Amino acid sequence: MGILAGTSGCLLVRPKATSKLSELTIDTDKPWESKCITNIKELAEGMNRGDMVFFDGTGLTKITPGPIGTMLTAHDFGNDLTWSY
Amino acid sequence: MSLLVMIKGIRKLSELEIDADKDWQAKGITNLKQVAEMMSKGDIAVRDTSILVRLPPGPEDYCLTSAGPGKIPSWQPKGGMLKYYYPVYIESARVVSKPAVAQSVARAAVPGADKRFACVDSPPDNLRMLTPSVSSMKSGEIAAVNQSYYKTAPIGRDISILVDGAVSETAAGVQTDETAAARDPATGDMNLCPMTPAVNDKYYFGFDKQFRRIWLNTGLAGAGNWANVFEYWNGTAWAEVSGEEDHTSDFTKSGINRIDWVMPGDWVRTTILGMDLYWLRCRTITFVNQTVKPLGTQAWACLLA
Repeated sequence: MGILAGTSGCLLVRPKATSKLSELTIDTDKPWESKCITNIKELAEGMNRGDMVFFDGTGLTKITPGPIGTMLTAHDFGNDLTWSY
Repeated sequence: MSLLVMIKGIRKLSELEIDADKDWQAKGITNLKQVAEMMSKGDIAVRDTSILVRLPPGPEDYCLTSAGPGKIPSWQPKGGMLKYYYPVYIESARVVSKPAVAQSVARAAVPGADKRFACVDSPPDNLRMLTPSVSSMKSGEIAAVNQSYYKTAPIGRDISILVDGAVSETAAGVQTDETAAARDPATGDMNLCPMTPAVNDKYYFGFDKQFRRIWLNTGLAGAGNWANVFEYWNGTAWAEVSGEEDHTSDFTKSGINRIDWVMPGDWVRTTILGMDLYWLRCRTITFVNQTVKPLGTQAWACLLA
């Protein structure tokens, strides 16, 4: 925090501003108000090419590609997706 | 002096500089419009080489199909890659025509034998009883019978074998060996009656086994008035057989005719002209006259009539 002299002799205290995401403290959920976030590398940790994300009941998780020729298969509501022939 | 504290920070997300990856500390980001550029309805976010990209929906009824690890999935027709790359159908059923079963078997049947033939896979109602078909043998294939071979002939079979001995005897007791004449086929060389017939003329038929029938081939039928009886040796004397049937009519009928009797229980062997055999003799018991002297050709002994 810096202390500056105002033009009318007042004392101006200016806290250090935060303008970078790296400086942002993530302390709450954030509705994104239907705005875009693009050019994201990953939504789940350690994603690689071909990985997709789905909600596993706790948070977003990745699903890695299955063996070649397998199809993404549902197993009814509330269950994880799997790759199967 | 007043103290003015003015906090100068970003107030808008647009003012936020994205300068680093960010661990979101398990916090939620909701109500996002898109996480990959230009996403539309049905798009799926999928990680490409370095960032998330959108994967648009595939054609109707296609399935999201893996292309293997490290590759982006793609939409493929149902049936997966197998159908896509190998568009053939494998039928699970295979129809094979059932071979026809031969309903008959042409096989040479043994004459006299009751033969049944059936195909292995033939149903039970196709069992067939085949009437033995007897094929006529070619005349050239008929084997000649060795009529002199009798030593090993089993007793109990209805067979006739040439006699082992034949002897003529006059009423005065003069005996003549006619075995050869009785066994050879020369016509009329057996003197069934002496030159001067009389009562007690005799003709002997001998065989190595007991026999109960004689087949006599009369080459020249006799004519006249006389009568014969047939006798056997019982160990003590000559005794007349019982149940005599003389179909030669005392040698007055030509051709092959039989003489039968009931097998004696006490018939034993005896020796005539050196031949130890079972002998049956024909003896003249009455004699009136004889206009034709009977001559025999061959004689056979029958073991079981």
